[in-house]
Amino acid sequence: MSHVAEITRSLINEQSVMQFSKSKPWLKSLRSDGINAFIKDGLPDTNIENWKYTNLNQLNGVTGVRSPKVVVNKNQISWLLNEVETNQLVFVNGYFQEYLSKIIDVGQGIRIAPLCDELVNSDFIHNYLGKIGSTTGNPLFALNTAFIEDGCSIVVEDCKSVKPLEVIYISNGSNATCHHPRNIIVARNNAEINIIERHIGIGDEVYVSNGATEILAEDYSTINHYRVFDDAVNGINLSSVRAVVKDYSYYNSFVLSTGGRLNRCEINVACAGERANTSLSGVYIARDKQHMDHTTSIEHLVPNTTSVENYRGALDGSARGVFQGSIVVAEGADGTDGRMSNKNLLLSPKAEVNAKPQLEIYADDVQCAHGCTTGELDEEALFYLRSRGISEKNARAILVEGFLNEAFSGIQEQTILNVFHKKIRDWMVI
Amino acid sequence: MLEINNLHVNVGETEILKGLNLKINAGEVHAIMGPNGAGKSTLSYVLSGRVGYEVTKGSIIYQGKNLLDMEPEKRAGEGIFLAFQYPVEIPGVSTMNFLKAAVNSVRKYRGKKEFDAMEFLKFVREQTKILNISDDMLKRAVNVGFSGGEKKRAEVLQMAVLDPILAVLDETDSGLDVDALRIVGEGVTALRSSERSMLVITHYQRLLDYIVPDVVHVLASGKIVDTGDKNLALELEKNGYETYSEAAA
Ligand SMILES: Nc1ncnc2c1ncn2[C@@H]1O[C@H](COP(=O)(O)OP(=O)(O)OP(=O)(O)O)[C@@H](O)[C@H]1O
Ligand SMILES: [Mg+2]
Repeated sequence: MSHVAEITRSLINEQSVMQFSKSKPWLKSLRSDGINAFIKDGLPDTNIENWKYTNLNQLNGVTGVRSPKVVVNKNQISWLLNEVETNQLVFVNGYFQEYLSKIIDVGQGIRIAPLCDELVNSDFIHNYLGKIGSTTGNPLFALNTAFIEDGCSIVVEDCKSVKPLEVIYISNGSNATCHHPRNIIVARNNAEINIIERHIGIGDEVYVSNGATEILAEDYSTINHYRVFDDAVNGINLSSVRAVVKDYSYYNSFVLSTGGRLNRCEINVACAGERANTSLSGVYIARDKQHMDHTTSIEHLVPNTTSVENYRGALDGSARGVFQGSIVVAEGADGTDGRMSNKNLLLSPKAEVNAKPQLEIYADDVQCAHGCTTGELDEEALFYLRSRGISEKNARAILVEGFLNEAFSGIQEQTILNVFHKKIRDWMVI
Repeated sequence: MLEINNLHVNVGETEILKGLNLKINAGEVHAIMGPNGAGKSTLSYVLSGRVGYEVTKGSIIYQGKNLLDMEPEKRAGEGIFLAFQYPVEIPGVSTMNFLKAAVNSVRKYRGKKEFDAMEFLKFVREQTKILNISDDMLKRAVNVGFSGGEKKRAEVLQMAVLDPILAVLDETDSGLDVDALRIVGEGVTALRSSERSMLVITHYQRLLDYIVPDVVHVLASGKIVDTGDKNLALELEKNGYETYSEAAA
């Protein structure tokens, strides 16, 4: 039996002995869907088109056991946005940590809570949970669904004054355990929200964080979703985002991957309403033997929707970067405007990039463009900087930083932009 | 201050400079003129240490030191500055951050205290005013989307803030309209001092109307083939280089 099949089985076995104390009937059936879909598909192997460049054999040795509840000290936590007032939520191994969190926005139209509370207190979240994303053909999302237990639940309606949310996901690895945080983000009816997520790890043991997030933006709403993957050295972070964008709404995603042994960040957006917009921006920077995979798909389902995508990577050491981006324009989705760009810098002869852009267009009157490039640092620019007195090392750092920062030129919030720039700079000087 | 002896330089397989001699004293302004492809830019790159320009023979002594031993950044620290004929575009790097990194690097090299953000802003604004460079331009990425004239003014700004001892200006006047030429000409002239030497590469007399040179050289086919005072430039503009190409051949 292959490693992948073995791990699949161990994950299912674990599931079969899982006990959920606070299940409701609809939740039980949702989890069963997840289990069944996962059993049917199993973990993807490299024969699956979308997994061609990322081999989950790397999960070899992962037990499938649910990560334990552990306690983290307040002084182990630092917030990225410390100059502005924010809602703060902390999860450790997928479990909400009330004593480390602070939810300041409560009231008309704002509903921010740990998912575990939403699952027991009412059926409100049943309106959304499991209804945006589909377990079919998405084994990791299905696996996450099988384990739905806790995560971040944000529903905002008719409200633009929500303070930014900062969410920290801490993984504390031991014995190669797994956790499956499940998030839901909904903005409806003229709502706007900024969410900044950070994924970090403690220690150097293997862990698997298999997160899933369902997102819905409708009726003139905007969701700005910022994520930083800063996992520990042996951390494995798999995440799937499924977003549905409806009439006159925006889903803007900004992702920065710097950490972990394996990072697979999958985003799937459906522009499903008139004048729906999405922009996906990302930077991956890797060294040593890190593997970073950004796989996106954008579906334009109705006329007059737009998407812009801009991913950049810098790979050093023997690191490997993967970018897969697909744009699908459905039949009748005339007036679609979709643009995708992916640029990579190879900083060492052993670093590698696999880039695969894909356009599938079934409508007539559309504007779509894509471009992927992979190259080395511009020697002429390097000389220009050095001729101004800047050391070779600093000149390289400035050029790489400048190259990567371009991906985030769409960030409007200066404080958040500063955070991303600083993260990139910190990576450069290590 | 600068002494170039019998300099031979190869680019790839081709010999471009073929025994060039040049001596510049402190505070002097020398102009170099010469036909396209003569090797003027090659000389400027060799002075600033660009890779791919192989010195096969000869020497360059700068302030008593062997210049050819130094990395480009060290040369800049030692006071060499090149205003590029074709300034390089650097997407994603703001002009302001670039200038600050450059100025603080050379200040550090020269044993001076580095500027903090506020000090630097004040320092750079004194120069941008003279050169008519807007704050907006400083925010933009280095040379990206700059017009030809803006690029050249930005080069002069860099020269001003890096406080060089030997400034090499490679066709800093090309592509400038009349007003920009005046701004650049006056800007450079303001930087003349008894401690600063300049090597001005140009095709036209018009820049030399502002920066009146002490010495004018003709570079043709990889060598200095004639040297005179400022009147030589006027003659060249009238008569061209025809006599020299014969002499060099
Ligand atoms: N990288 C290179 N590879 C091959 N030949 C080169 C290279 N760079 C310069 N050359 C050649 O060297 C010669 C001198 O070039 P250089 O740029 O120094 O001339 P120049 O005097 O500055 O000319 P211009 O007045 O047009 O600026 C030219 O014939 C040019 O084609
Ligand atoms: Mg030239």
